[in-house]
Formats: sequence, C-alpha cells, structure tokens
Amino acid sequence: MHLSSVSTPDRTPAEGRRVKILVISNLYPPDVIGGYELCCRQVVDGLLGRGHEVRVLTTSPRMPCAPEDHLARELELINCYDPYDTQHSRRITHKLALARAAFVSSHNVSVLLDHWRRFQPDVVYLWNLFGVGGLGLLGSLEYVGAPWVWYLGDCVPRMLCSLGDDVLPELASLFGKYARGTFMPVSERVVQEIEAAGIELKGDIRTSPNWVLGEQPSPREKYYRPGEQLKIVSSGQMGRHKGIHLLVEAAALLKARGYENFNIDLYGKVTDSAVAPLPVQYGVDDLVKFKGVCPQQELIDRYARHEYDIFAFPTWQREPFGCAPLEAAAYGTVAVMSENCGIGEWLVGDVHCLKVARTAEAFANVLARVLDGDIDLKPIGRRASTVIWRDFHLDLLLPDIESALTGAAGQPTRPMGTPEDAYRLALLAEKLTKAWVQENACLAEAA
Amino acid sequence: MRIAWLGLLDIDDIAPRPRAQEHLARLASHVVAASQNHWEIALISCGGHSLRKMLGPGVERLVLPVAGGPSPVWDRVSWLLPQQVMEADVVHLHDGFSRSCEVAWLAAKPLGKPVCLTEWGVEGPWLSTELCLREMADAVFCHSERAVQAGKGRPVVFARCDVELRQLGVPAPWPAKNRLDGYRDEPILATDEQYAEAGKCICQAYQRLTAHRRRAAA
Repeated sequence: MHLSSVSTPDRTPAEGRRVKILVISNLYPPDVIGGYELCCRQVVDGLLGRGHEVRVLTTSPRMPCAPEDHLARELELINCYDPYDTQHSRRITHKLALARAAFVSSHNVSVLLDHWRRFQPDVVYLWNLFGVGGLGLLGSLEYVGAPWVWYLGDCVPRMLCSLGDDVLPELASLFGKYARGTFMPVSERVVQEIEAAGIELKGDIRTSPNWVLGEQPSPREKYYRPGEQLKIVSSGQMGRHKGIHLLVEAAALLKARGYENFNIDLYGKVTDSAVAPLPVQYGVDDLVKFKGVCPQQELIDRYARHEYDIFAFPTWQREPFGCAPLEAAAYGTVAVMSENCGIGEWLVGDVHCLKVARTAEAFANVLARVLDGDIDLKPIGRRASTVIWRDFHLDLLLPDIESALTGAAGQPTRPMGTPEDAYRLALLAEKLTKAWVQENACLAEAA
Repeated sequence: MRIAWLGLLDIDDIAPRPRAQEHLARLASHVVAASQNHWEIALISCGGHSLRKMLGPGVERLVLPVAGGPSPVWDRVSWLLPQQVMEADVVHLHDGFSRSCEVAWLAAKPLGKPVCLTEWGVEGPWLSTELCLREMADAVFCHSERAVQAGKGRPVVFARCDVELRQLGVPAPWPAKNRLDGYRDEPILATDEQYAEAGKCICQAYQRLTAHRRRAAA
C-alpha cells in the first residue's frame, strides 16, 4: 500500500517552455559506477516525461545494450581507471590517458560539435565529464556560445584540472576565467572541495540535493527492538574510501563486547581488494557478508520490505552526497553516517539520521546503543521517511532543474567562433597537451 | 589599449645575433607612434629569468618564467601566458612555430580576442601549418609579396618591411633541437620609412579589429 502524499507531478515544462536539451555524461546506464549515472538517467526520463526534447550524448557501452532513440553512445571513454591498464601500463602511457580523460579528446569534441550542429539544443546539461576530455568539451561549448548547466554530483571541475591526484594550480586558476554557466552542486561540500583546489565557479550556483523516486509507502511499523536481530546494510563501492573496513572493524568491536545479535550485509562491487578478506581476518565472517552487486531497484525493494533496520554509511569526508542512504532512509531504514559527508548537510543528526565520527569505535558505539535500546530507531526512521518523500522526490526537484535549464537557455550568449574553429582549437590543445605531458615525463625520468 | 606580441623572440637566445627583438621593437615603436602614443605593446617571450622592462615609449619587454624544464627555445611556454593574453586587447603572433604562439591561440580565441598573425611565406613541419591555424586569424600581416601569396584566403594586410624570417631564425626540423634552419646572418635592410609605414598599416588594422569587436559586443 502506498500513500499519495507526493502531489501529482506537474508535467508542464517550467514557464510553459519546451526546450531542447543535450545531456552529456561520461557513463549512462547500464554502464554505472555509482549514483551519478543512475541519477542522470532518472532526470533524463523526468525531463522527457515533462515534454522536453532530450538527447543524451555518452560513451560507447562497455557491454552490448539496446539502442534508445534519445541516446547517442558515440563518445570515447578514456578509461584510465581500468585496473589492468593502471597496473600494467608504463607511467607515461597512463599519464597520457589521464590527460586525455581530463583535458581534451579531439574525437569527443568532434562528436559533440556534430550533435550541436544537428540537434541545435537550447541548452546543454552537463554531468560527469571525467574520462571524455571534459575541459575540451566545456571549452568547445563556451566557444560556440552554448549555454550550459552543470550537475555537480562530485568535484568534477577539480578532476578536470588535475593530472591524476595532482591538481595543476595554474590550470585551476584559469578555469574560472574561461568557464561561466550554471552549476548545480549536490552539496556545499562539493563547492568547497572545488574551491579549495583554487577553482572559482563563475556564474549561477544552485545547490540542489539528489532524490528518490517512486511512491511514498505507508509508514514503517516494525522497527528494531532490543533482543531482536539488528539487520544492518550498506551498499555502493566496496572500498576503504567508503569505510567498509571501518564497518568490519566495528563488527569485530561489537563481537568483542559480547554482541552477536546483528549482521551486516554489504552490496556492491568490491573495488578494493584489501577489504574482501577483512571479515575473516577480524573473525566476523559469520556476521559480515559481501553479497555482491545488487541492482538498484532490487535494493530498494529490500528496503521497502523492511529487510534492514540500519543503513551504515561510514564513507569518507569527501563524499559529495550519497544516494544510497537516502533511498534506504525513505523506507525507514535509519542511516548511520559519518558526520561530515555530503548528505549530512541535508539531514539533521539525531532527528533524521545518526551521525558519528568516522571511526570503527564510533560506529561500534552507536550500534551498541541501538542494540541496547538506548536509541529508538522508530522516531528517527519515521521523520526521515517523511522529510525525504516531502523534500527529496525528483518530481518536486525537477521544476528547479527545469528552471535552471530554461533560465540558461534564455541567456543571450555570444559565440566566439565557429564549430570548425572550436574543433581546430581542440586538435591544437590535444597535441599541445600530449607534448607537454611527454616532455615533462622525459624530464622527470632524466631527473 | 594593450597589444600582446608573441613569437620570434625566443630564438634570440640561440641565434648568432638577437635580431628578433631588434626587429619587433622597431616595428612596435612605430605602431605605438601611429596610435598617437595611446597604445602599449608588450613583446612577450618565455625564459629562465623573468624580466619586465621598457624598451621605449609604449613598448615593453616581458620575459615570463618557463613552465617545466629546459626545452628547445621555441617550445618554451609559461603558465603566466594566458594572463597576459587576457590583459591584452589584441594578440599578435609573429611566427607560426613557437609554442607560446600556439598556446596564445588557445588562450585568446575562447575569449574572443582579435588574433593577428604575421605570415612569412615559409612553410615548415609545424603544428600551426598542419592545423592551418592561420584560418582562424582575424588579420594576417605580410611583410613581402611572397608572403601575401602564402597568406591568401584570409584578410591580408600588406605591411612591407624588408626583413626575412631566415634573418631572424627558423627552427630546424625535428629531431634537431635548438638548431636553426638556413640562418642568414645578414643585417636587416628595412629602412625606418618602411617600419613607419608598416607600423601605420598595422595600427589601422588593429583599430578596425577593435572597433569591430566593440560593435559586436554592443
């Protein structure tokens, strides 16, 4: 049974205006790394549903997939995170790949300009541009006078001004001088991280959260009671950056204190080989299980069936948002999260979630308090669910996104030149980048 | 109004005689004079030691710190170059082979700055030639009839000045590093009258370009 407290979505485009939107994303489902790509598809479907003409330009699929009319999988993905390449490439090869991934790929600029000419969008909606030569794409759009809106689900401008982990401060300082548009970061944390790298975001900044989809369920009745089995879940990339090692350690601490009426299910791809053996090493393999990749909808169905009491999210400080705990909390699965991650900006600790320091000890302590009955999950779960369906539903956020897109589309822009010249500049930039990386690598080797 | 001049100057560091600065400083002084001393021209290159000094009224010499390590003189570039381009109203590239000129294209065109190019009529195995960058120039200046032929296809301004590129220095083809190709160790024969006339032509072209840009912006 579902409630219908989410008002029937208004399917009229913002300000009654239908716009042509060219969406650019490095990946698009079924190719996903995390929430970024899933959110992209959701918002594209939402915009199509509201009558806009949308074309998605993304990279060729990593696995065969069915064609879709509004989808052009024509960009090349420079996959510099491929584990084989990372481990086996020569250093210079890897650096060149990183440079193309972040700075410029003339092939991708050519594809973009071709779509720009043929589709003639009113506005370009940018998503994650890492891996497709994002700076080149952005520069080309600026050059032909294309208005753009950039959904920042991560500190992508920072990634685009870096070679690997190293931000190039000079490039970062140039970013703000050349790029001007509408930015939609998912949290202030994202903005701060970008600015801390020396990048100035010039233009309109509209912070807007991620969202949930679907219909609001009836309130969850059954919550954990002391003495029962406490069912804990986490999902996402299984790596240390997401704090999975802390969760295993927390389980070990709880076990050492005599708690065994809990279990932790971990869904997602193990991206960090160091975490896989941890449950055995800590002697908690009976309590902590890696369950593998689980499709998003299947996980949501599990939350909706109230299979879990707590969503543990010991993620790193630079987590831009975190869709997974939002989805879980929408169904009354209480999020226990590290205190300074992106989603923490949107939910109040002890009211809508539980926030703790990002240590195994802190997570063990809060879980122990739940197990002991010192923390009642029910009021927290209820409040979180209410606020999420009220304020974080895509249907409610879509008008803001539309407003940003139509607003940008209405801004007069002055093209600096023709698409032909934009492509020529991309070719020049690509060749100069290659020369620069190679020459500096030679210098480093010589040193 | 500020005009950034780039190109040729790097070669002075390896040429037997530093004629590039001599040539450009003379030409710049006449452009400034033709502007009734209203404009200033910065002669910009990249080098190991930063430098900023006035060469004459309205003519400044600027050496920007090189980014990265030592490289052939015409491959030098500086992270401060984009800032110089931003501060300029017009960018004038005096060669088609130095990296500072290539980077200046990248820095100037996205900002809508008028970019002028001096065409010498010498084709080489250079990126500028391969990509036909002169197609993007807002004005092409030629100092000789031969160069006019090479520069056709774009709006060409003939500003006669009897100076040949090989008197200033042309890079030898790869892999010869830091070597000049067919250097002609001859003095510049152009007269002061030629420089004055060329300066006037260039000044008028800059005026047309900046007026056009102002109209477009309005």
